Amino acid sequence: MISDESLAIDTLNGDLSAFEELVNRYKHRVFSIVYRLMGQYQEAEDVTQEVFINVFEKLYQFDADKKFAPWIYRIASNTSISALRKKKNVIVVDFDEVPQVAYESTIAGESYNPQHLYEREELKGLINDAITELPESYRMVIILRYQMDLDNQEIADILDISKENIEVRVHRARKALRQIIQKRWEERGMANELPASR
Amino acid sequence: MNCQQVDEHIFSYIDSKLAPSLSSDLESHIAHCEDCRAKLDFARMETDILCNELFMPTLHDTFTADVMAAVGNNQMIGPTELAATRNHRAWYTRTPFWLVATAAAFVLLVYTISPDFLAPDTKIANQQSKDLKVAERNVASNAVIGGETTKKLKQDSQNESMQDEVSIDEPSSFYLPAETAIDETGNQVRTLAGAVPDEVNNELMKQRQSSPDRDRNDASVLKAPISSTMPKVINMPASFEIVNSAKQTDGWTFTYEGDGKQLTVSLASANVPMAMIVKPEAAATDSSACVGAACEYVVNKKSAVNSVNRSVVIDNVNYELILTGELSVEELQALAERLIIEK
Repeated sequence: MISDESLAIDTLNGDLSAFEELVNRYKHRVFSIVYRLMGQYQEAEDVTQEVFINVFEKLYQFDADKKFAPWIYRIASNTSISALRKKKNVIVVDFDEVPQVAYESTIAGESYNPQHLYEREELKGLINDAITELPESYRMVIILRYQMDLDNQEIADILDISKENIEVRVHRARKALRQIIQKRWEERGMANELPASR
Repeated sequence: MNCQQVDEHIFSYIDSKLAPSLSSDLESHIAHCEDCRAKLDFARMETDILCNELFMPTLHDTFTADVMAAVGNNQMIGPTELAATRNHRAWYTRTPFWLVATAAAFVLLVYTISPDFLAPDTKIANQQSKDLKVAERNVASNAVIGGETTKKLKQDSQNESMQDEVSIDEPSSFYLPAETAIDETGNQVRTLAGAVPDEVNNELMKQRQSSPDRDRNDASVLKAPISSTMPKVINMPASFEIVNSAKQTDGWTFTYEGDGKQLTVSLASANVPMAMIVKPEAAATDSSACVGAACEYVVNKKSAVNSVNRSVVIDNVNYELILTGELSVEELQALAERLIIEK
């Protein structure tokens, strides 16, 4: 398979099909970053499109000796944050985008326990919502580590902070996320206390 | 390790980022602490959800085609034009029409100059009537560009203009490759709307009439034709120094002083293809010292911009790119990306 970096060079040489391949390879990953940051489908799709246009226009700046993925993630991050600031950080989550609780799902390797499953699904919904309430720097680091599965050096490159600070930021982001979840959990009057509250 | 320390390291442990010795300590503690074990299980469940189970809508099937349509037929044109071609309008394309039109048609590059600043020039007097007509025509022509076929025309005009402007050597007097006109109140006004020969203007008008874009009202159509409105190079005498630069709502204003006179240059940031390049001999190399020099550069996307030493080669002439005190490298880059010289 042709590497991302080679496709980038081919694009610079005028091969639009190479760019199309890059779009296909990265559109879902870029969208997942943008969607988590924007929190709203239509805006996320617009911004994702904008990301690829930015990538196309800035491709001449790409250093082909480096990896393409962190570079495009950085553009995705910057474009999203810029769009967010333009709309003054107002996050709107459409009702039709609120994830439906999938009661029928089962978790592999766990015994079937209706109460447990219900709470897990409830927790999933809480986490979905709680992420949108996080400050964008925390949101970003969580997306990059847990959704994009990037290592600390890659995250550091994208966020332009030192590698040593990544672990601290992840910890703070998880703590902040936990606080929001606990608060929501209590507000919903869930029967069982969260283990994390003990 | 105690319970509080487990709290501090629990996420790093789950993510396999904890040092082996600390991991062992944590495991030893968890082996005999039921509460911490429950916390660990809960944190694992959270992590599992974060990694694998978050809600994620899918992109439309036409997403790739939409992107390719946006870039495919618009290579090497500016982001504003690209945005205008997109199916979904981005936030930055939602600029009010009147603002875009104003920026594109009227705020291109305006010189405000005191009457006594202009040296007497019999040519100016002789050309006043004609210049006024030309200036009026330029304003009209701002809104009538479109279509690929105008490029050649623009390029030819620009190349001639570039050669003239680069070779100009009038260090003792202020020179701008611009037209001087008389406004309604009888004052001399120097605009940067370079003269458009009648035949060029007529050609532009004809092409506009036959252009498929003739009925469009977006910014890409309203954008001023480069050759008719903007000199590519402004030679600023070394005796003039910038004394103030300020970011405005839709651009920048630079104030220069020299020989006891003052000049204000307004530079619109949106939809305005233009460049201001300091004469090589006036260039400073240290950006921290660049408050005393004008100004920015704009290049074609195909041009190699050396962001390290900030230089650009146009027609085999190397120009030093100078930052004012107001613009960061990123802002300069952003400016360069918005503004284009077509060669």
